[in-house]
Amino acid sequence: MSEDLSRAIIITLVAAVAAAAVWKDFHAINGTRRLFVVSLAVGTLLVMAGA
Amino acid sequence: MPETGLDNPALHTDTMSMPVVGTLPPPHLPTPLRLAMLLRCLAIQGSWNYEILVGNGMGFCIEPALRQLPGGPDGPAYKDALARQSVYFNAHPYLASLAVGALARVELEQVPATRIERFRTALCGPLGSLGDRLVWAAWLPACSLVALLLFGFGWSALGVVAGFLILYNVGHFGLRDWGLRAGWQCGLRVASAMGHPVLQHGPRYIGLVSAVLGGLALPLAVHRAIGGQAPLSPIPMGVAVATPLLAVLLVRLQGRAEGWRVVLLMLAVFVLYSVVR
Repeated sequence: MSEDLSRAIIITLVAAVAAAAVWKDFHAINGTRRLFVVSLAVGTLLVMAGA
Repeated sequence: MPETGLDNPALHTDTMSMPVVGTLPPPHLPTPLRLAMLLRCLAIQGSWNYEILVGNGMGFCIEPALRQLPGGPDGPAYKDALARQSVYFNAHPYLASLAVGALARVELEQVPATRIERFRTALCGPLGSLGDRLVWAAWLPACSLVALLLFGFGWSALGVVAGFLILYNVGHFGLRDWGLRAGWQCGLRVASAMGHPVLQHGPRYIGLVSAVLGGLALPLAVHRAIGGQAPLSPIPMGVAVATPLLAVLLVRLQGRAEGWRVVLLMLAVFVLYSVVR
């Protein structure tokens, strides 16, 4: 297994656990989901632009 | 709105039937005394135990103020007050300073002991609830997300850690200092301080900001962590697809697959793979 792939698996796992943890906020606070999705799109665009 | 215990009658003044001590305009809080209590508040959990929780810590924090009681540190008033303040108490460590300020004032104004004890007992629940919501559930995750965002923007490890510590402690020390001042200012009327907008609505607004920070930080930090490869190459695309799927799976399996168990399982798989290979 390549170094990049094993690192990617760990990062995926960590990011998924973090995302699952904020799930509670999504349900507890109105508007959180929308804000998260919009800023996720902005973050992704920033990555694309920076690449 | 979650239960905060602010409706407890002991937290509100009953000026019709009780003496008005503890509700008069606040006496001047000398800076050396404030700093001594504030400094001691940092060690409030130093003698935490299962029997009286932060009870000893409360006595330790209020002690500098009690020296001003008639008779000084050798007088009976000092000893009685210190004993009264060193019994069971539970509160969020940062917001305990609010109780320290309020209780120091009522002790120095020599409010009747039974009333102080009732007031002290009534403070426990609300301070724990408010502090947990504001600090552990809102401020700490928000600061962590800022640190993640800094990492995503390419900051060095030292910069990320320093950024987190500075930001977090601005809130931490600010809350402790505000609590001490507000507690002293309000005395028995401390419920009005606990109704402060930051305590009541802060968690909600910080939660909204956290959502924005999280959304921005996730792709940037993940991109940097996997080596900054082109976003449309197979590995970043795989991460982008697998992350939400796994997150939804974790949420669906709530109670059966906590994050730490999944991470442990994955580490075990890696170890086995490296041994077998």
